This record gives sequence, C-alpha cells and structure tokens, in this order.
Amino acid sequence: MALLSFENIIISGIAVAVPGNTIVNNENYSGLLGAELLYKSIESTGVIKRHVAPPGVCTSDLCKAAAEKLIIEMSVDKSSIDVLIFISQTPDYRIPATACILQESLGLSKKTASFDINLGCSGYVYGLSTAFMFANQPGINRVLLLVGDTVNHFVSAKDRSTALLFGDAGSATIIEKSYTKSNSYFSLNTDGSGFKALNIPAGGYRIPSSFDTLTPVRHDDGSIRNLEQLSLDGGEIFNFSIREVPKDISGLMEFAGIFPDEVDFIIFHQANKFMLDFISKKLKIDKSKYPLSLEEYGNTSSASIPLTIVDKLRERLKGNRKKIVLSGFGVGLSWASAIIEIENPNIPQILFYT
Amino acid sequence: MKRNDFYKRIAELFEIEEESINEETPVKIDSLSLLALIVLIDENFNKQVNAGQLKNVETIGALMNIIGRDNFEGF
Repeated sequence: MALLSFENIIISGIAVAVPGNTIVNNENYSGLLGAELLYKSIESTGVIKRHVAPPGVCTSDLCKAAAEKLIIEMSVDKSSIDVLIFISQTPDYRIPATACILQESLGLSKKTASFDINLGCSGYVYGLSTAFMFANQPGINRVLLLVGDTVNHFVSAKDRSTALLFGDAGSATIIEKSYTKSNSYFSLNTDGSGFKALNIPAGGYRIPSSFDTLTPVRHDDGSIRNLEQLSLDGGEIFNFSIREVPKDISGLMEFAGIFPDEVDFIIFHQANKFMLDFISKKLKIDKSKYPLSLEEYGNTSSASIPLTIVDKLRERLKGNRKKIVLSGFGVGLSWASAIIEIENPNIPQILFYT
Repeated sequence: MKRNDFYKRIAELFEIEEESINEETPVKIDSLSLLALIVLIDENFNKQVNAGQLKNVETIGALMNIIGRDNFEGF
C-alpha cells in the first residue's frame, strides 16, 4: 500500500501556460455527432472551449514558458534547483528524456538531477509525491516539477469519444522545505488490467509504426482513427473512476486523520463534468468546494490539477492557508490522491503561449 | 427496487413513454445514456456493472438480467 506522509515540505509556486490558439465546441461538430447528441455531450462533459497546441508546439514549450515565468516571479536562483522532473505522455522525442533538453534550455546547472515520468491523469499527484521525497532530503534545495500534455497531437478529429474533450497545457511547480508546520499525505495506486481503456495501440515497440498503423479505420460507433491515435473507452473509465476515486480519497483522509469538513477545496483531474459531479455526490462534497476549469480549457490531462488551481484558486490562496485535496485518475489505469496544505503560494496568471 | 420505479427511471433516461415499457421494449445505449445508466445502477442497486456488457444490451429485459433479477421486488 503506497501511502506517504511528509512534514514541512510545501508547494511555493505554480504557473501554467496554454496555447493561445482556441477551439470552441460548437455546431461545427454536428457533422460528427449529430446536433442533438452534440449539445447533450457538451452539457455532459462540460467542455465549451479548449486551448489547442498547433503542430510543432510541444508540451515542453508550454512547461518551459511556465517555468521561466515562475522563476522570474519568485526570483528563484536557478542554481538552487537541484531536481527537474518532467511528467508527460507527449515528449519531444522518443529519445532522450525531455527533462534533459529542458535542463539545458532553462539554463539549469549540470548538477541538476533530471528525468521523465510517463503518466497522464494521475501524473501531477504522482509527480508531487516524487518531488516531496526529493525535497525531504537535506541536500536538496528546490525541485522543479514540470507536468503537462498536448493530447490533441494524438487525437483524431473524427473520433466521437475524444474529438471535443481535450485541451493542451503545461505547468511548472516549485517544491521546497517550509519553515512553518505543514503536513501532507499521498496515496498512489495502479490497476494495469484496464490499460486498454485509454490507449494508443501502435507506435511503440509492441506494435511499431508502419503504413498500416497510420491507415484510418472506421469503428462501430462511426469514429475514424488510426492505431497511433488515442482510443478511449468512456464507459470503462467512468466505472473505474466512480469505483476507485471516492474510496481512495476517503481512505487517505482516514490515514491522515482529517475530517472532510477540514478540507477547503478538492481539485479533481478535470476528466468530465458529469463524472466529477457524480464522484462529488458520492463523497457528499458541496459544488463550491470543487472548482472546474474544464469549461474553458477542456480535459487537460496531467496539467488539469495545476491549471484548475491557477485558474480558480489564484485569488483565494493569496495571503491564505488552505487544506486542499488533489485527485488524479485515468490512463494506466492509475490513480492518486493527496492532501496538502498550501499557504500564499506564488501563482502568476495563466500564460498564453504563441 | 420495484419494477415500476425502475421503469420510471428508464423512461426518463431514454426519453420513452413509461406506460409503454415492458421487458421487450428496445433500448439503444449511446455513450451518454451509458454513463447515466451506470449512475442509475450504482445509486439504486449499489452495484457496478461492466460497461462493455451494458453497451450490448438491446432490451429492457436484458438490462434487468445484467442488474440481476434478485434486485427487483414486485411492482
């Protein structure tokens, strides 16, 4: 059982960058879904507008813009960043790790430990737990956690399950030691039996890229995609999420000895509105406690938790100390929850990357 | 759950006339009604059914088989 706890490690700043280019989910999609299902589907997912990376704009570009902004705003001495973690499913290259490229392009010291982690929806919480472990070491000053995805690069515009859902975003978070008391708790989980529910079947080494894997295929529901584009089984993901997420959050609260009333906000991975409303109902959480960013930004994969914090809590965290639950769940299948205390963090406004 | 209450919820969900529902009534489950159905079953039967199984359901009776006949009591 992967339950972790930390004392006096905090998030001191979070920044997010999204592509300046936006797509509105409107009647242009009625050809794909039919007018009636289109509007029902927008109402259900909650996604109205999305920021979409044009070809050539990578997750690392968005994360780098966010990191540079944060480093300037916080006047961070770059030599105090001892660890750089990049979490994404959309790296620059198959080889090498994108973190290595970012170490150089951000002008960080050669003494920086840099590595990638491949996770999606649960990635931010997993990444934070890893960053907290490093920051807990006496020799580590600061950890720079870069998390994001440009999912639209591998989504088929003719896929009924995915075409309207995703937005692209990159985040940067700085983690360090705190001089005031601060407790945090993490729960990390996996169920690989469901890996096909969110999967790009080909283009790795199990099914290498070929002419066949790039040929569009029409599926039973009318969706058209090739084997190197994302396949999403919404029903399975929904079932998994409503089964595991409430249980994991309740279990972590019990582990931490924290009552639901003590929690100021729950920041969910912005999967879709219908799902989050139902999970919250099961957990008996009031709507005001779980802000949504997906209306304006879509499901932004691993960046959705930091994006929601920046978009919705930026003002409310100013000069305040809040207890926040973070919950990421999806591709893997992988899910993770955290309870953190956050006090007056440095949060610049969302950056629009052009 | 009483069969009539179940029919009532099904009528709302699939936008069909409640009076006309019987076990042979056909249902077409799309991606949205699938999620609503999972919620309905979770809330009323405290049960999680396989989404793949639900997708292939074609009649109300088949849906009741998946939920489990033991879960329906009278009318």
